[in-house]
Amino acid sequence: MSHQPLSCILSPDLLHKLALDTTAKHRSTILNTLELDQSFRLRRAELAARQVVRPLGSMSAGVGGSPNRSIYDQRHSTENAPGTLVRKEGQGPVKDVSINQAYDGFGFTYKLYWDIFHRDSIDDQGMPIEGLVHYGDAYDNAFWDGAGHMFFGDGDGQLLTDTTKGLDVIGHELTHGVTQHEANLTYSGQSGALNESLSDVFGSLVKQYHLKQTAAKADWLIGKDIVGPQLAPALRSMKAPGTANQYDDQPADMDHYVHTSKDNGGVHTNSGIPNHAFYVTATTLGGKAWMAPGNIWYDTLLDSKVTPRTTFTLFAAVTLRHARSRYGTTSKEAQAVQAGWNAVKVRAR
Amino acid sequence: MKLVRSGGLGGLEMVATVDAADLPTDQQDVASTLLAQDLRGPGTSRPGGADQFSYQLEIQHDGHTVLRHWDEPEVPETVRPLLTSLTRQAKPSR
Repeated sequence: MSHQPLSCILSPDLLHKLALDTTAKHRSTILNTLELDQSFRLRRAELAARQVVRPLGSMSAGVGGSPNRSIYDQRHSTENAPGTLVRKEGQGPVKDVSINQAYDGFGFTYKLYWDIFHRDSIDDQGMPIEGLVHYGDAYDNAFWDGAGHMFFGDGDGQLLTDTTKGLDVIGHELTHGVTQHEANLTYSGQSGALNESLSDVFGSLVKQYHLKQTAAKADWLIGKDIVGPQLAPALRSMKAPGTANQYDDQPADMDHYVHTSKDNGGVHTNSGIPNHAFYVTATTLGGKAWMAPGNIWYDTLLDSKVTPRTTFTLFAAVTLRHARSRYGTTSKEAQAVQAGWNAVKVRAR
Repeated sequence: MKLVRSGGLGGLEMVATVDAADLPTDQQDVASTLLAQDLRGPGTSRPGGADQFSYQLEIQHDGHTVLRHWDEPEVPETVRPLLTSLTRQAKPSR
């Protein structure tokens, strides 16, 4: 075993200077050290970024297979700390429908992840699932805060309505937490669009699994149940990106990739490309999209090659590798994944 | 003044352009404060967050322009009513 004693003791700048002032043999050693050192530093940064803060009081170790949900009522404030605890795990329904929808939606989301992917909550270690409803005044949004909380606004009735009504939306937000714990995709550019796409993919699968819909039967719309008249009929379409509503400008392939500084480099726009690749994969195979397509995408999300700055091309290659290793090189599953990426003009090999 | 709200679950950019004189007095006062100083909320935007709104406020006064920017959850409570009021007048920009 070869040790690299210089790693992480000397700074990269100093190692670069040493490499310039030494013999060819030593230069090679120093450059190897630099390479190792850089990969170690990157790995360390990635691991640090993956350390999601668990909500307070969350350290109870439960048995896998059952969620640990808490719903808080923010009572229209924009306070970012959890408000009044209004329903916790095991308690029955309350009068407020938003609270029940959030509770049930988290349950259905947990169930897909546990039943199909054997994942125990957001962090795969039984992390409590905390939803904050009635956030803000007519607030047109739902979001993941990066610290273990999902926020749900009531909408203004024009753009959005009560965001807890969308099971795919609840699955979408919780999946942002899963992604943060796994690939930790940087929320910008192509990696950000992949982050968004994974939330749409698994959000859609949560809904399909709950409704027992096949890929052919599903509508592949995102946010259909929460849009108001201005954004009807949906926020996004995985089947036909760019057609979900009058403002939808999602591209369906790389020829129409949108280069923009808006929305962190168009993360909600260019997600249409990997979204459509998943749709084509699932409908080419037919049957239940949460089975082979879902497992291939989930394996990819957990693959250590998928790092924070992953591009569409790398992600596509890893999905194809998992399809081949799980089902066979010439399997119909691998061919369907290839067809999916071909359809959006992303090279997968 | 001009507000651009971007991000969010829908990724829809919303834009409002209003004359400060048309705003309630308390919100005009907030705009005046923002001309002179940046205001920050108690929250800190965390890496790993997703679908959160970003706000950019452009205020023009006496021939100069001031830009202020906040990502949720950094919006200070003193500024929130102004942003809410402007957001209600905003239109989708695409």
